[in-house]
Amino acid sequence: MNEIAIECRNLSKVFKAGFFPKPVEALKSLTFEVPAGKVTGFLGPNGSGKSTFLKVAAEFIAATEGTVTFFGGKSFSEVKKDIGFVPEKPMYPSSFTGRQILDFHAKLTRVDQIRIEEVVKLVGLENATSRAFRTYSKGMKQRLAIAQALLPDPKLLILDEPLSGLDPDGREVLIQVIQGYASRPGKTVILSSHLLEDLQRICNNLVVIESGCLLFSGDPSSVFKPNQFLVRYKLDQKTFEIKCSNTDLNSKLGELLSKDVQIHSIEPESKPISALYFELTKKNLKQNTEKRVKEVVM
Amino acid sequence: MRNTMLLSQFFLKDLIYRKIFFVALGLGLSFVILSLLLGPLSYNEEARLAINFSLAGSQIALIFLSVLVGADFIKLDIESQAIHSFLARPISRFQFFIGKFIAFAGCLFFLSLFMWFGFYLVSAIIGLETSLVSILPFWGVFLESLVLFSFAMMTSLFASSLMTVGASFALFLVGHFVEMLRQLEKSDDLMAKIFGGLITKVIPNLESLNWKAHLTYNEWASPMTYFKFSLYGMSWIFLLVAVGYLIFSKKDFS
Repeated sequence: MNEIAIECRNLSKVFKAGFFPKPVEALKSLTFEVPAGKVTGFLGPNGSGKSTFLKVAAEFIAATEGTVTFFGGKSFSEVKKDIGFVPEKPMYPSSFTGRQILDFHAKLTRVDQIRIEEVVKLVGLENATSRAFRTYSKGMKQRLAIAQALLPDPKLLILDEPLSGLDPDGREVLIQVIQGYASRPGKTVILSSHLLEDLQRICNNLVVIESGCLLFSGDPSSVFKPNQFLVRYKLDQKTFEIKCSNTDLNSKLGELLSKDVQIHSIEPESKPISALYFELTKKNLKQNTEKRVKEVVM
Repeated sequence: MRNTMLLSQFFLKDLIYRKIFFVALGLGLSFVILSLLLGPLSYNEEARLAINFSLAGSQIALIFLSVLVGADFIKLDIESQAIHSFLARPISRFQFFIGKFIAFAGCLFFLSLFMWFGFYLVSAIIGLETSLVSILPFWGVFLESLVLFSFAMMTSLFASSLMTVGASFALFLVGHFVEMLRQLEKSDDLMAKIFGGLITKVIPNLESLNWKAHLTYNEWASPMTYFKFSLYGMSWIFLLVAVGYLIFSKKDFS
């Protein structure tokens, strides 16, 4: 049986602020599981509740109802030492150098200097650790945050929007670091993002949230069966490609074989995560857009 | 305990790097030096005037520092989400809160000590009679500043920085008039009686930590009196820190 890294049961969060608070339901009875040893992407538009879920999981905010448990019923506090957390906006005292920040976190997690060197090299910050944190670019801040999260070699790495606002180079570096970590046996990664292409590259498990509701949870390929095939065939020494849907695949193949062509390959054409995402959310997006347009026009 | 001490060392370094430590020290020492140098300008009361002004200067520097730092010390970490990086580590909310408090208390202690040392040195240089007992008023100022810091830190968890600073300075002012307000208890008016009784119980009597006059007039109380008042100040600090932690432990850091 596969191990479960995170088990979320009936999780709700209602925010109330101010003197006369109007309750805002950020999470609505979320129930899902995150399998261990996989890279799970939390997908959803801005304000959908991705970060709120991660903050509730990390006990930064209290759940109104429901529970989030780790590795077989343990709370976040009980497994903190096995978890690396990279917040949405990594912030450290601005006058400290990267090295001082890592030294401090190494002492907290009882990690030696060799490990610091390893993680610094891993995230490519070798030439920047002596610089003050305030001089770091956004990408460097993210890399430093990942370095500190990786210090104790955690079983689970949680990253809250690590790729947003980064330039393509910075994103590439971070994706490689995350992929490198996730490729090791027993390591689980959870990252939230609204960047579909990046999630497509990294994730093999997906949780889609919108307006605090769970739209999808699981392996995207399992529900997203290919309904389109790419057929390659040779005719007169030239290679051709045609696309056909599930329904007309047989008739198309019969047609080609009758013309005495040589079928080279038939490949299911995988659709991007974005297709699944828009399929799941299009109704809501359409409703929201119509509502906003009406509001503006009125 | 180990993590709390690591945190307090880290935050103490942060305070030093933020140069707050040096600004307050510079301000306090300039007050001390200026007051001691201004003393001779007065008629007949040079020593008293110089001592009184220099102690008041140190008190103002430390109190301003305590209130202004206290109003933002934890609040900034919450607002900037820096707190997430700490609490995701094997650190409890209690360790974080106490670590921050100890860091500032340490900073304030060293500042008070340096200011007393500066006062002692300059007094000796300009020929004022003083002894090691002169450290006592500085200890009183340290305790008073820490009471105000604890109050500001607690208030900042649910109020804006401006409100926190305002409330802390109000506490400073009212805290020095608690003895006078106590007289209301003797009033015939029921409301005034209730108000007088209440205010003396919910507001720390900061005047009991004000020992400047003891040094100025060289009239010292018994060691037991200082011990009792120190204990009184510490009890208020403990109470405010405990209430502050209760609020902090229940707070959402979104």
